[in-house]
Amino acid sequence: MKLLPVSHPSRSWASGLGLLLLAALGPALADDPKVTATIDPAEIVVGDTAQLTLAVEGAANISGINFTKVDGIEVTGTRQSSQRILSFGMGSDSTNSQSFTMLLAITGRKAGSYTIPPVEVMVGGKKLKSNPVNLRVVNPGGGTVSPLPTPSASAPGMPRHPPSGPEDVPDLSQQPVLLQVVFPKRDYFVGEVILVEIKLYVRQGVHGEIGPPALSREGFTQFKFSQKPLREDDRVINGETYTVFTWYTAVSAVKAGDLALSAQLEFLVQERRRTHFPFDDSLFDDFFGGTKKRVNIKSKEAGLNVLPLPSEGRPDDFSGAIGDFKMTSAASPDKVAVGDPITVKTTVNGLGNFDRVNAPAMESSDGWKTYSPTAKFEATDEIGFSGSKTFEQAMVPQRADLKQLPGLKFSYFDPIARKYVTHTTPPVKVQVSPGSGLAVAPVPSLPSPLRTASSQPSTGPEELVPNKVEIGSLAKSISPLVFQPWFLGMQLAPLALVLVAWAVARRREQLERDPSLARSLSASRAVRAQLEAMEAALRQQDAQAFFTAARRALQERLGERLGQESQAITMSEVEHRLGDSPLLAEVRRIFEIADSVAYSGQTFSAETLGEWRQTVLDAVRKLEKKR
Amino acid sequence: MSFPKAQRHKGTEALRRVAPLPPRRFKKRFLFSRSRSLTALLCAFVPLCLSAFAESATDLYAKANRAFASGHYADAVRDYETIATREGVSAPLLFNLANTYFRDGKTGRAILCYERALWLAPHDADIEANLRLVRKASGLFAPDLNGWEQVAHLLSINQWAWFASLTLTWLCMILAVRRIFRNAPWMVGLNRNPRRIAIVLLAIGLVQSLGAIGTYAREMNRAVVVTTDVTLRISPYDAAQSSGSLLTGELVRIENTHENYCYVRTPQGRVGWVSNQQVERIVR
Repeated sequence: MKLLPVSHPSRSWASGLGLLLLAALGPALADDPKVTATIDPAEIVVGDTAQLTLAVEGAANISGINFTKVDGIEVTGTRQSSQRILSFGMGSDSTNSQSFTMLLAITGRKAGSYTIPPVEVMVGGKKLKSNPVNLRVVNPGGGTVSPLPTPSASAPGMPRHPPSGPEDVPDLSQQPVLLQVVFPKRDYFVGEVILVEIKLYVRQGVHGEIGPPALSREGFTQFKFSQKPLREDDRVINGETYTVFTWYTAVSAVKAGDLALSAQLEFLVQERRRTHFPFDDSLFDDFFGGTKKRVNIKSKEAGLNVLPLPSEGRPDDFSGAIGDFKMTSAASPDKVAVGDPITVKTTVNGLGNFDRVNAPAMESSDGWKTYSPTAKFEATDEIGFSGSKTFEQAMVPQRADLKQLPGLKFSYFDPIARKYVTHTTPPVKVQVSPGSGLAVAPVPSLPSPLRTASSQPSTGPEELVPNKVEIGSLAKSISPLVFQPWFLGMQLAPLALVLVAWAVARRREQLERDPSLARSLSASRAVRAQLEAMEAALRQQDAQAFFTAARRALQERLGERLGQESQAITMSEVEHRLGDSPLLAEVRRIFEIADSVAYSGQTFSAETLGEWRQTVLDAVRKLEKKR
Repeated sequence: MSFPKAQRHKGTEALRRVAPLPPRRFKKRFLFSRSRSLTALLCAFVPLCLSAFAESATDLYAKANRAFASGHYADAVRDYETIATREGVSAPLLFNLANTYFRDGKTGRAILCYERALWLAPHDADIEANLRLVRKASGLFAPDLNGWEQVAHLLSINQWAWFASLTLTWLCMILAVRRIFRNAPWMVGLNRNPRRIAIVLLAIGLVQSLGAIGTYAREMNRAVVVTTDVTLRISPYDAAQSSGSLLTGELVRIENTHENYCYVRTPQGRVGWVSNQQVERIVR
């Protein structure tokens, strides 16, 4: 588990050293850096200041910025907010995040709507551009200033309507860490999406590893939840600087009544130990000291009142959708023949509980055959609160006198207006021609007769080809041959053939290149043959054959060794070549006894022949070793 | 023709005199001649058993066809499924089963069986016609094949496998002969060009067939939605949020699995988790 510091780099010269170290480590730790610009608030009065935050994700430092001047607004100050490297998640699932934040104070000088162009930021020699942001400057008393700054309004990938209500400044007296659950209002309806912010306040100087928060959600269903916080801000509360990490999620109540939400998370805090270094910097603590302590942080319960949906005025086609939706519809093609399908594409977009948005109902489907629609939802935020849901439905005209596709209607409950709303689309004009006159009948009530000839060609696309009379050859599986082990094994045979051919040819070439090797192999074969003959003679008690074979075996081995024809090897030649060695004596004995037996017809007992056998084998072996 | 026992023995003795055999070998051959009758019996019995099975499958098949013709689709499905489970499948069996499912209103299962039948008998006009009709009647569209996929589908995967096997065998044989007899006088005198052309053509054939098999292998994870009201979910559990829905009979590609869920992608690019019971692979 990696423990990384949360630190302010501008405290001491040691921090500078730390920065250098982190900057050096930065590229190894981070992904491709990216810059995100957010402005807070998005609307100010002339003379007031908004805070433009440039958040550089994936980099520990920047080397410069370039702000394009915009008439009517002015940059009145810059501040490097913070640099942090944090680990989110525990254990092997943890992910590291490093970021660098630059704050620019933008003061409105003239009323109007402004688009602040992308700010260029230099990161590690690369020039990155932020996204453009909009700022509205209004005259005092003449405009509609947003009631309160909404931090999440500019959080990337978040719903346009943030959950933050009045900014509650939590009571952080003496607390280094605090968890808070925030939602924008108190009254909700059953099934309505409740956007929830979970905020973790961490006092500067507190180090640790943060696990993902969990909601205690009895009576609620929860939507998607990001493991990493989607927003980080610095705030000064009671003279102390806190980093505020914000997670976003959404829940919806499943029952009416007074309900409560709370959150908790695990924080692995590094407790600082006094070091002997003269620097008051957390970086050195991380390298040289500190113990870890697991702390379970719980938020206070936040209460809300959940109301039941009114039964009065509830449309028949209401499926439980609650929010603010719009509907559009299109059909193609608009010219078809009877029996050909038309695809009707309906899109419902807006904000709300899209999982309860069903396909819009058809006002009348007389003369049309309709099929179940397919649905596809594309969220435009992280938690699936805003987006669009598209339904595609096939409709087949059954008659040629149809002139239009029926209109569609979709109903939902608007929680702000506290009433049901129904949207309808007008009928769409289509031209239906008689075509082939054969309408598709998916499930005919009467079966067609069985066909007698299975090879008969099909009669046309509009009639179901009848059943086959013959069963055909049955296979145990439709798994293809290439997945059958026997088939794969069979393919090894030709490959083995190539390998064998290659080995044979190579051996032959080797023997051709090295005649001595060929001779040696030939001699070995001959010696083996003579020894086998010797063994056969031993079994038959044939002393003459035994010694003849023994002498031949020695001659073959000596011939190979002395480089002569084996038949031409004589005792005098052996004496000349072997010199004075104990082996010579053994060879001489065998040669002499062989000559003696050949001419005298001397016989031996089986035991004696056995001893001679051993002598011959020893001599052959020694000659082989001497090669 | 059969001889009395004594005569048969006499015959064996005569054979022994004409072509004397070592005692052991003779015994072996004699034993073999005895076991030959047993082998013959077995040979006669096994096809008999097989034909009995085949007959029962044929009977059951005919019974299922009769049930289908009289509108008893559930009975027909049961009998067709029994044959498939007990003795295996064939393109006609799967075709009839698909027709029965369709008549019974089970479009997803019908499309699954047609796809399986097409796997066994690619380009079968009857299967293609019925599959097209069922898709059209259900408001479904068959995914388009790209150029290479169309080439790959000219043959079935098994035909490509045999083609690859033959080209590999010929290629290896040519290479082996060439290697062993490289310096043989008859080989030196031969014109090398036909051999080279053959090697190149066989190599191209092998690569092409392997490519086609690879294309089919990618289709091994194709599945058909077999139930109705199938919801695509963003996570593999029951309470997960919906990200869309699928029609019964729709073709999907299974990209991942997790416990009882699989992650599917439709030809239109929609993705999500569905229960394993809601989709079935075409090739298992």
